Parts: sequence; C-alpha cells; structure tokens
Amino acid sequence: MNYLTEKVKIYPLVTIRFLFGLMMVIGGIRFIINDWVDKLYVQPNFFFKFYGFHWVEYIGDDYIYPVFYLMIASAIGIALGLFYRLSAITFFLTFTYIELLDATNYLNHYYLVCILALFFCIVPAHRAFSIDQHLFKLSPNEYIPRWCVDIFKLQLIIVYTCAGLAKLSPDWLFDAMPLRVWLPEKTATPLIGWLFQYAWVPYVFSWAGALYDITIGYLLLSRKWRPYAYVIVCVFHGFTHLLFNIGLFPFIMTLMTLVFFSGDFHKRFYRFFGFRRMQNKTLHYTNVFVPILILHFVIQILMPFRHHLYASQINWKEEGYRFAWRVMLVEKSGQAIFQVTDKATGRTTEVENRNHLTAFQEKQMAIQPDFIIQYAHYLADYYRQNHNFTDPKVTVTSNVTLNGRPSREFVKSNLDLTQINITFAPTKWVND
Amino acid sequence: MIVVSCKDEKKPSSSKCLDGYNQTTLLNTLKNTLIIPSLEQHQDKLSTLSSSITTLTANPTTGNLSATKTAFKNAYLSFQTVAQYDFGPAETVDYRTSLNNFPADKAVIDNNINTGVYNFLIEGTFDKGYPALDYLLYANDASTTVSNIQNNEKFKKYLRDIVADMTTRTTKVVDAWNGEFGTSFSSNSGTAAGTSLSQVINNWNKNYEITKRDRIGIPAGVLSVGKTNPKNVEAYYSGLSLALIDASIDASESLYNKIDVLLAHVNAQKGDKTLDATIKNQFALIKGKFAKLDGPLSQAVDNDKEDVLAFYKDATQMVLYTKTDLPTALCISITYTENPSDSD
Repeated sequence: MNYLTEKVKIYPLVTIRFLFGLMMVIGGIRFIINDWVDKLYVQPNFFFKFYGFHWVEYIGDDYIYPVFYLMIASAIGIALGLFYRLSAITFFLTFTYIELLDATNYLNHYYLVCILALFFCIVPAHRAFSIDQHLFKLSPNEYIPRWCVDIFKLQLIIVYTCAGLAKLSPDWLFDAMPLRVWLPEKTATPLIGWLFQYAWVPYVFSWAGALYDITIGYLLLSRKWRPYAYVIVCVFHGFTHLLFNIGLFPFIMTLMTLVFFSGDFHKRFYRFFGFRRMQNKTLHYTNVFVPILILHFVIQILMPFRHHLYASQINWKEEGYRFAWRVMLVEKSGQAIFQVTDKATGRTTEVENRNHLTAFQEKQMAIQPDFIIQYAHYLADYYRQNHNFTDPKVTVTSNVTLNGRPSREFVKSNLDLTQINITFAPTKWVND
Repeated sequence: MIVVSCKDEKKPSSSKCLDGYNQTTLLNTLKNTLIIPSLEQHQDKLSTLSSSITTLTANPTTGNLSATKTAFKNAYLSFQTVAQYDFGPAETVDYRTSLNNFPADKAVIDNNINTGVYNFLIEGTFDKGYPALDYLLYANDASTTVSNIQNNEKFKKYLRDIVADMTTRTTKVVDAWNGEFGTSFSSNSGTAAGTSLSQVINNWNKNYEITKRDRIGIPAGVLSVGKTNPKNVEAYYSGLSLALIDASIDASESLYNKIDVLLAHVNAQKGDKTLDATIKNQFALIKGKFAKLDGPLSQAVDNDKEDVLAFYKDATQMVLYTKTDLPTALCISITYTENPSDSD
C-alpha cells in the first residue's frame, strides 16, 4: 500500500488529462461532421445490445445530438480542468451511454476510452494547471499519490500485452492473415505503398506487430529504453494510422503513453511553456478507490483470457472475443438469410434484412452469433405484430468466411432461433 | 504469463490472394473483348430504336409501331449485357438507374405527358428509360397506341425525349470507355477498393443481386410473406421479363468466364471441388431451373410458383459463391456495403 500511495509528481497526469480531453473533443466533432450520429444512431430502427445492457434505451432522434454536444462540452471541461469532476463524470456517462446503445459499433479503443474516462473521474487531475484552481481557489499541488498515475500505465500495458498475445496464432504468424489481404490494398499509400506489392512484407509486418505489442509496455517502463520505445510508439502508430481506417486509436495510444515519462520530464515541458511557479505541496488525496481499482485490474487481467473457458476457436465463434483487446485479427464476412414461418398457419417469408438493419449492421450481424440471435428474436416479434404470425419460427441460412478460407455454414440451419437465448454457456447453435 | 492460443482454425488454409498476379492482360481482355463491344452493340441497338421512334412519331402506323417494338426488344435485351458495368462513366451518368429503373410508375408518366413538365436529370425516378417505353408502347393494344400517338404531340415528344436521354447517357459512357477512362481501366490494377478488378467484381455481384432480388424475388413474393407482386416484374407490359432475365444471367456468366482464370491462379477450393467448378456448376443449375419457367413471369409467379421458387433458391445459393467465396479467394473486399465508421 505504501508504494501505491507514496507521492509522485502530478505533471504526467495533467498532460494526459489535457490531451485526452482534446482528443475527445476532436473525436466528438469528427463524429458529427462525418454524419456518423445520423448513420449509426438516427437511421437504424433496431439496435444490437451488449449482454446485460438490454435496458439501455435510445434517447430518441431529438436528443441524441444534445448528448453528443454534452459529451464534447464535458471533454472541453476535462482538457481545461473546468468543473473537472463534473466534466469527467459527464463525459464518462455520455460516452459510455453512446457506446452501449448499439453493440454493432463496438471497437476496442472505444472500450479503452470508457475505462480511461472512468479513471479520470477518480483522479485529482485538476490540481495543477486547471481553471478550477483559480475558480475555486484550490491550492496547486505538485504531488499526488502514485496510484493516480500508475493506473493509466498499467491499463495501457494490459492493452498492449493482450493485443500482442492474441496475435500469437497460426493465422497471424504463419499465414500473415489478415494483413496479407489488407496490405496489398494499400499500394497507393505515400512513401511506403510500393512495399506492399511484395508477398513477404505482410509477414514482416505481422511479426513486427506482435513483437511490438508484447514488448512495448515494458520497454516504456524502463527508464533506459523509454526514449527509444517512444520513438517506436510514434513510428508504429504512425504506420497504423496511414494504413488502416482506425480513427483516433493511433493518436490515443501515442499521446496516452506519454504518461510513462517521469514527472520531472513533464515538468521541464511545463517550464518551457512558461509555467514557472511550481508549488512543492502534496495533495492528501483519498485512497478509498484503491481497493476498487485492484478489483478492476484483476478483472482486466482475467477478461482477455476468458475465451480459454470455451473449447471453440475464438475468431470463429467469438466466445469471449469482446473486451479482450483482440484487434486487427480477423477478416471475416458472411451472409445470413432469415426465414420466418408461422407454425400455426404455415405462412412463410424470407426476410429483407435491409428493411430492418442498416448495411453496416447487417454486415456485422452476419458474423456475430449473439447478434444473429438478437435479430431473430426481433424478427419473431416483428412478424407477430405486423403480419399476424401467431407462432413464429425463425431459421437462418448463414455462411461465414474467416481469414481467406472458403465460407462454411455458420449457424446450424433449420434451428428455430427463437428457442435460443444468449447466456455465457457455449454457443452450441454455431458450427465448430 | 504467456498464454498462447493453440486452437487454430481447421484446414483448408487461407487463400494466397492474387500475390504478384499481373492483371494487365486480363483487364485489357475484359475491356476489349467484352465491355466495349457490349457497350457499342447496345449503342447501336439504341440508335436503331431511336430512328424507329422518330419514324413512328412522324408517321404513326401499326407497321411502324411493330418495328419500334422489335427495336425496343433488341435494345432492351442488349442493355442487360452492359448493366453490370455500372461504375466509372456509367456511375457518373447514373446509367442503370436512368435506363432501367423498374417497375415504371405509370401515374407519374401519364402526368408527365399531360403536363409536359418533367426532368429526366432527376436521379432515381421511375418515369424514363426502358421501363417507361415498355409502358408507353405496350400498355394498350396496337391500334389504340397508334391513335394515342397520332393525336397527342406531347406523347410524341415524351417518347422522343426518353430515347434522347438514353442516347445522351449511352454516348457519354461509350466515349469514356474509348477514351481516358478506358486507358486508366487497363492500368488501374490491384485489389484495393476502386481498382478496376474490384469495381468489376463488385458491380458484377450487384447486378446479379438485382436479378435475384428485383427481377425474381420481389415479384415472386419471397420477401413479402408469399404475397406475389406480378406488376413488379421487369418489362411487365411487353412480357419480356424472362427473356431479359435470361440475357442478364448470360451476361453474368460471360463476365465470369473471363475472370475464372483468377480463381485458377489462386487455386480456390470449395468443399471437395474447385470454386471455379462450383460456380460453373451453379450457373448450369440455374439455367436448368430457368428453362422450366413459362412466361410471362408476371403470370408464372402465381401459376408456376413452385418452379419460380426453385429457380430463386438456386439463384440465391449462387450469391454465396460470388459475393462471399470469390472475393475472399481473391482478397478483394465487397465494398458496395461501406463501413460508415472506423474499425479496429
């Protein structure tokens, strides 16, 4: 406990507070400018839910934009340290709410943002270089308990390590899949595009990527290696930004990993920008969150490995796939054709998926077992209400292709999907 | 704490993609032996149709009407061979949706003629192209149609305007293929979205899906709890639906038979056969089922439901091979359903 509560300089925390807030402002504005609010939330009639979060209701077309505005405003608050605590909590709630609305849009880096936002709710990142300090006459503090900074490091290390371990699979290492599909599409990339005409390049990228993910967190911890490691961080995420459509993720990682640098390193930086009056004071901050954080990290370490409890191939059945930092591992596509039959009358119909789902939702649904079941339940209700089916049965003909293999039957055909409920039990309705 | 995942996917292993395949010859073959000849042939037939309509409107007789109908039929059938190249210049001029958005909206067409106010430059309307001609030339018996044309200058103008609009767009497409776009098509190799091969394969699939869904599925009522929609067939008034479907499937197959070398190159397998054999076999199956149908389709959907549904079923099975397996084997993404967001 002493180690966790001993005093460290606050500067790294302030730096990432500002940069996190700034990125989230940009991310929010980008979402609105790209019209994604409309495409992802206003247009769909139906949303896929996360297990245990079916109760999260869509706020309605009139209010979804205000939720985004509120989120952006609270991100500004985080960056400036203005009404910091309220801003951090508001940001966490609005961002998480938006993510919980439709599991179709799940991305690992959004999940990371939720976790980081939660951390910002409980750390005193506004006790230096904030507007609150002036507003509420808070004394500036140069020192805070160590855990306030280290939780960010530990979380990032977990993300990197798990992402790296997930890459130690035959597909990734020996077939260079899916990079072998993705990289040749990038021959038009400036400076490095010419590389991707060569068949060996995806292998180099695959192995280098796995090695990077597994080691980078620990290199960043080492005082000796840190400067070199950070250069590698910038190069690696620079590449991923150029090559893949992964939005803010490279920026989040490049900027958040600055937290690994020492307090003195960051302090010099602030001095450089003219903040000369540093107060040698220690904030006696509550440690009440420490046990909760320990529990959080125990869960964080176990969650990515829960798929070992299932006997299935994780990239195929996706049991234990989400919340496990499994990024860039699959090129997966498929099609699912649903048939709804009224057992009472024998009336039957194929379903026009595009009448119920957006193209993006349909694409995601076809490859994720729990989405297929959720959609089947929705269809049963839909035909009960709109076509007077009294006893609807829903079956699906679905085929999926994974990492360049020929397609195979995914969900077993002729099963009545209305009889299946999502639990943590093995998904027997999907072929192995 | 090192936990290595050892539960790998079963064989067969993944495709070797088109690593290092030189596409130039293939792209030139596609362009010079299939795409441009088809486009020019259609341009030719459309030009004949255009002259027939000029003659018909100048001198409305049943003889001239009959000649126009023949020219219409030839041009419409010919259009089926070019509909699948709906990218590049065709996309720029909204080629398919301007020449063949069906079913025609007769209320709008009647109103257009009466008011004389219409704008064919508006995208996605159902008042122009082949479906509108199908309605105007075939909705009534020959003598009624001839007298309608005789007595109505606005009717004459509407016919001429439709065919003029079709001709303008066709000229633009053909000229582009014979010019700059054609040149860039041959050199735009690779597998990324927007490359020639990606565009060809995406639009080939898209057109095939239109045949499956719009030409057959919707009229047959498979998507509407069995309630058939006979008036939604393509070319309802002339009853050419089946001939058009036949021409469309032939066009799909002809294009496939040019790109099948790619599947041979990557040695794509499907079950215990090659994917190439699977696709060719499926074309044969579809054509076998198609041969059992008796036209016009608008009647077959009710009178010969079983055969129509059997045909639809096999036509649907093909989509799996062409839209999922073939692009996977070639490492080309299907992009006509675009991601609206980031990925990770």
